[in-house]
Amino acid sequence: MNPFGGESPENYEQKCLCVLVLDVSASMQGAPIASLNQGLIDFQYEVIKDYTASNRLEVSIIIFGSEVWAIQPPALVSTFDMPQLTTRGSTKLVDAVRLAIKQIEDRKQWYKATGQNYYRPMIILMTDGEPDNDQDVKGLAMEIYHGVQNKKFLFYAIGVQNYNHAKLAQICHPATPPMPLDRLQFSAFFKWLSNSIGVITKSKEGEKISMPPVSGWTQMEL
Amino acid sequence: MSEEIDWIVVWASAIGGLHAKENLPCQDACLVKNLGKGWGIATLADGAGSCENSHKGAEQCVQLAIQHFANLIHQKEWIEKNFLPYETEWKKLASEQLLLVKQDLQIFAQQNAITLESLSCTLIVLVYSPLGLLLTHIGDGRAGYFNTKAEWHSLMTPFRGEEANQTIFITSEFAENIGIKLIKEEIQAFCLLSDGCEKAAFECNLYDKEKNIYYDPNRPFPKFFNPNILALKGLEKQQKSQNEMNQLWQNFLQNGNPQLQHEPDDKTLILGVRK
Repeated sequence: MNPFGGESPENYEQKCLCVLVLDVSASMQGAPIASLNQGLIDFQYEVIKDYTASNRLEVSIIIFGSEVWAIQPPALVSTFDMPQLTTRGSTKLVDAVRLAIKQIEDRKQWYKATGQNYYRPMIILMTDGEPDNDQDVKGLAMEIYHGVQNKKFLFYAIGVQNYNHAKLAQICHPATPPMPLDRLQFSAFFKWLSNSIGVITKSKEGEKISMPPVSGWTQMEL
Repeated sequence: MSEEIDWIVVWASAIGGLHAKENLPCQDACLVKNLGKGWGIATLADGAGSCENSHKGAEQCVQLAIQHFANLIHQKEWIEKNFLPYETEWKKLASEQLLLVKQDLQIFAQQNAITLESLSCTLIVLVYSPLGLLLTHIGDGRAGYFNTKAEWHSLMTPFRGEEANQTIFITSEFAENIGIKLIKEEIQAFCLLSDGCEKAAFECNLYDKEKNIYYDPNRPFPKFFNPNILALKGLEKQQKSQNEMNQLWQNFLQNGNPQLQHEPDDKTLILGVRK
């Protein structure tokens, strides 16, 4: 019997914001959107299973088609029901990512104003197409480059099925090029993402961490 | 007076959940040296997760810190003179010792053909005495003391960057960021801990409902420490050896309560209590 004991105070956890920017354009109709919806449910389930990640990870969801909708504001995963996505229209990808960047800045300001510690936020973009012609791809690429370079956020893009790799690569920071999703392995990706976030939310600055194996969906380096 | 005072000190590091899962070594280290007549040095180092040799850096750092700060105390004859320096002098002397630790770490790096940066770690050094406490630190972690009015107070403010997991290290350009504290009063107990223990042992991220803000009172949690002071005194009465006490302490840090059990980071805690 160990004589040492003692209660711990009710401290709150530092936060890690992950913004999911999801393509719901018409081309995602059918199996892709169904797989994406299942993947999101699996993601929520996996995060909630992880004691630390579930207390640290805030998720927000932005979807884009012919418009952009912020359908889930930043919140701990256990506090909301995962939305059921439906397809709608074209691909306002740039507007959606810009909204994500703004949301991150706003959230960081809120963290600071309310005295909360936070990890570097991340944006996960998933798309099966390419941005509409009226979208400012070059401008967004510059914003992402500077944002990543200045350690304001992390940015990862996942290409689904017939996505335009060259166009997506143009947007991404050179250090983290887009990665193709193998077939429609959304569930495998989100399971991997939840495991990876579990590792990130327990890590220290710049820590060399072993990410879970990416087999099942693609190759990805963080 | 000083000859009658003695301390019971317990210290240990326990590997965090993430490092255990990843088969990584514990990157924390700690060491305590009793200098006699109620004087001693307690030190801990927390290796940077980003640096591959930081566990070696932490191990080296605590040994070097003990060596240099013990030399300082002997050279200045503080024990013989029953003397604690003023704050300005302590700041100057502590800075000099920390630079010596860094220089020796550089030599260690050269001898082992590794970079100084790969040894990066934070460092906290506490000199305890019958007259009070001297503390210096680089980086994060926490420290506190229990005074004769049975009140807990913090001894340092952890250095933090903008993001939750950023700090500075002994290998950094730390001259502008050396933490110093001097307590010139008799105390009953002290504690030093790495950031892996802070959520378990300190009030450090509370929520104020009225103001809707989170804040860091930086306060040792009495319900955590007070039972352990009693437990430590009990073990001493049972004449347990230092190794036995440290082993029990390490077991406690590993999974002694839910917060400690779920903590992903390495955990180090030194607790000293006057007999």
